[in-house]
Amino acid sequence: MTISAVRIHPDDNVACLLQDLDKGARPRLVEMAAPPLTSAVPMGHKVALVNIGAGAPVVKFGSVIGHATCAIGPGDHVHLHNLKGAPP
Amino acid sequence: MSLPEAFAGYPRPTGRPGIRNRLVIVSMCGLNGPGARKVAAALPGAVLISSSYGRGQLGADKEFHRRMLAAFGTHPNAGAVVVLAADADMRASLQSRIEASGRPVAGFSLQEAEEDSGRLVAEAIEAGRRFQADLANQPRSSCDIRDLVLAVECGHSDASSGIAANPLVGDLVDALVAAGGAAVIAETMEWLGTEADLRARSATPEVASRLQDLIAARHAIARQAGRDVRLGNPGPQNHSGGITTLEEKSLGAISKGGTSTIVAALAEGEAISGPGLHLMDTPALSPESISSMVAGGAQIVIFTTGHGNPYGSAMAPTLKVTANPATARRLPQQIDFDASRAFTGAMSRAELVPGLATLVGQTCDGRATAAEQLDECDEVISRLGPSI
Repeated sequence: MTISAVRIHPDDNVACLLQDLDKGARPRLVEMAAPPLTSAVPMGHKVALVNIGAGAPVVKFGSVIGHATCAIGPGDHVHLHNLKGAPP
Repeated sequence: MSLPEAFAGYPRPTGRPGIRNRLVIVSMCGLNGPGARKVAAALPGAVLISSSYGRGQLGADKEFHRRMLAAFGTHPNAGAVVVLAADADMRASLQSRIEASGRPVAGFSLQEAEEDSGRLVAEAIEAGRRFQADLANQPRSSCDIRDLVLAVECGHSDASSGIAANPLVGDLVDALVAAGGAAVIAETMEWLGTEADLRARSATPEVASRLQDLIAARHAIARQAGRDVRLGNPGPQNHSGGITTLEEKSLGAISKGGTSTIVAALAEGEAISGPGLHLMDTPALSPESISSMVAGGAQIVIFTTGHGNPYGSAMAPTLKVTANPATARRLPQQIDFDASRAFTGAMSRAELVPGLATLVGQTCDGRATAAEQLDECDEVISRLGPSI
């Protein structure tokens, strides 16, 4: 079975897609099937694996890459519309 | 993990063993450049380290150049050295440092050749031929993997770098560090936004504090030139590739260094004296960054790329790794390790680590890298300030 998403570090709460996927698709990781996507998401982009509350850290590479600007649900695309890094 | 416990290298009278037994031509001054190129051309396989300057350099820049030339002349992969200089004092200053390392060395200066470059070139070639004949007869012998220093670089990166190639190489770095070896990553501008993380990963408060000072000094250089390095970073191309924040972009770059504790923060070209993961403050251009890490003592380099990159170190065999399947297909002659299956989903990253570890072991044992075969190798010494 081809893997279609990857969680780079075991602590991550997001996965990266290895291919473009449609709304409703369930990305397949080595360790699990991820929640169904709530929208179409392009390759390389991030999707939430779990609930991430507003203001909670988004973790990739095992480190905080920013904080959720609103509540993020499992399967949501995580990008500029709901994730913000530390101010410069 | 199939990182070997030993490799077949060249033990040296002092310092770490080499994985190559190179003849090195060190040209100390711009006046020697044209002659040095003739010497190197007559000695196939020799590495030319050439400074285009050598007079009127000041302060930190002068000290840095001297240190870099000495570091290349005493590098683990240097089996013998020919020094070319403008005058006798300049020649003797480096020749004595190389002699002290126990390496065969011969030195020549324009002054001692009565400014006759033809004579200097002929004498240097003759000495180089004698050295090469000796080097070719030296056998390899078993060396401990704990004596290996691996430098890791990334260049012309894309989405496949942060998602697959860099974390894969990071896994290998973790394995080498766990085995007692050393590794180094560089390019200070790639650490933007991860400073707190890096401080937290530092072995001691002193390491964290030195790291912060080196980063602050590099930022001050940018500010002085009117540049805000955080402005518009990450850019639209990063965003369309899926990168949202600066922290994320930088973490993708430094993931090539793995997850080990940071044992030291080094200035550009500073010696890597012990085991563990090191961070080195360098400019962003790969030739400057790689040369600085190699001068620090790295015998081997892994260079990840998204779109491709022909460049390799002349002193230290440089392995190219890509996880972009199109790049692996387009540039098979340039890519040593195709990690694209970790990006297409055909394999997990963990399944690819043993193959990469085996390739690193084979390269230490003498297997030629793509960059060595293509002869796309050089060393570049940064300038730290203007001359008078």
